[in-house]
Amino acid sequence: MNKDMKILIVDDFSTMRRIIKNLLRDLGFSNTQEADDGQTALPMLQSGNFDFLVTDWNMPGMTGIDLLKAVRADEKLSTLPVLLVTAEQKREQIVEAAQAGVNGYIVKPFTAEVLKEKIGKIFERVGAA
Amino acid sequence: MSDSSGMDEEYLEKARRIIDEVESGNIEAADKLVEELSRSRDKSLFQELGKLTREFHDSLNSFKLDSKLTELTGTEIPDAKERLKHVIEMTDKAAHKTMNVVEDLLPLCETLDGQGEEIHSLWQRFMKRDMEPDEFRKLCKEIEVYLEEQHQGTGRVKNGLTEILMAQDYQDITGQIISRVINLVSDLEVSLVKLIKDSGALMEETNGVASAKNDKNSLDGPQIPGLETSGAVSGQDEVDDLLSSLGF
Repeated sequence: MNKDMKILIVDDFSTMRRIIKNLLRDLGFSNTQEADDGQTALPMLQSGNFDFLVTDWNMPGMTGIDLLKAVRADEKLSTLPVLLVTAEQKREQIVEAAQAGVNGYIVKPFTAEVLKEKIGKIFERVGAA
Repeated sequence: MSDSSGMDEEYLEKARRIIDEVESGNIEAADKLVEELSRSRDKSLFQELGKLTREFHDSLNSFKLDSKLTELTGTEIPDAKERLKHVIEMTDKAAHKTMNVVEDLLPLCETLDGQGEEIHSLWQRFMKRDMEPDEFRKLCKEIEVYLEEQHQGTGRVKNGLTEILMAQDYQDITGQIISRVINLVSDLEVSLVKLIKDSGALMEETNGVASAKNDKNSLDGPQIPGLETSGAVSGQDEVDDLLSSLGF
């Protein structure tokens, strides 16, 4: 796994962005940027050569699931690994995210270990594919 | 109904008697009957007026209830919204304050840890007598510098920990604010139920709730213990199980 990979963190709460940013830095990933909803994130993704997207679901403007769908629909971004970190935990929502092509799904509140494990799994699978 | 039909019969009977008396030439008796008739009409008018007064009184009372609602919706609800916004601000501030300290102190700990490790390995060499006197003199100076830095660093860590401790004071204040908002919501609930009862249109509660919950676009957000949404999983393990059943 490339520790220099560029990661975009999307969440409407700045505290949650900071927590994720700090956890990622602890895991050795310090090349991160932040956005506060899908609308700001999408143009950043389209022009920023990101390697990984970590996004919340419930945000004003553009939600995480819509951002995921937009990413999958974009020719240049369609293979970008996406991790949803969200308080939404209804079965139909998890299924919806899976069908939209999410690479990992973490429910809040979560621990550093869970984040590490999911990121590891995502890049294991991306590397194998 | 029976009252008014009784009244009708009374009228009819009196009218017939008036005609009888007039036909028989007893004008005086007829006059007396006409007077009786008009008096009974006055009586029913008073009854009607009484009924109206009672209705007016009742609506005035329910208007009082409405004004309680007006007060709740006009001032207390906006006020509660402000208070809850304040809760968000306070928790936000506390979280950032805590993280600022952590972000500040973690690199310090890493630096001190690295320096300590370096000095430790040099010290081990010295103990194995694997060190030139010049190098030893250098080590002594390094140890002195390190001890001073260690002392200052520990002081900064202590201050930071106190800052983190103090940042937790939001819990007390936000707890009080939220309790007051809960009370307000209860008051509002009581007023609304009363209003619905008084207006005689008690709705089927469950129907209303169900239709609101079925809105596909609304997200449920964090699960609150005791208020779990149906169809929600109960944690990361179940999410993982569900995803793996979908081929993840």
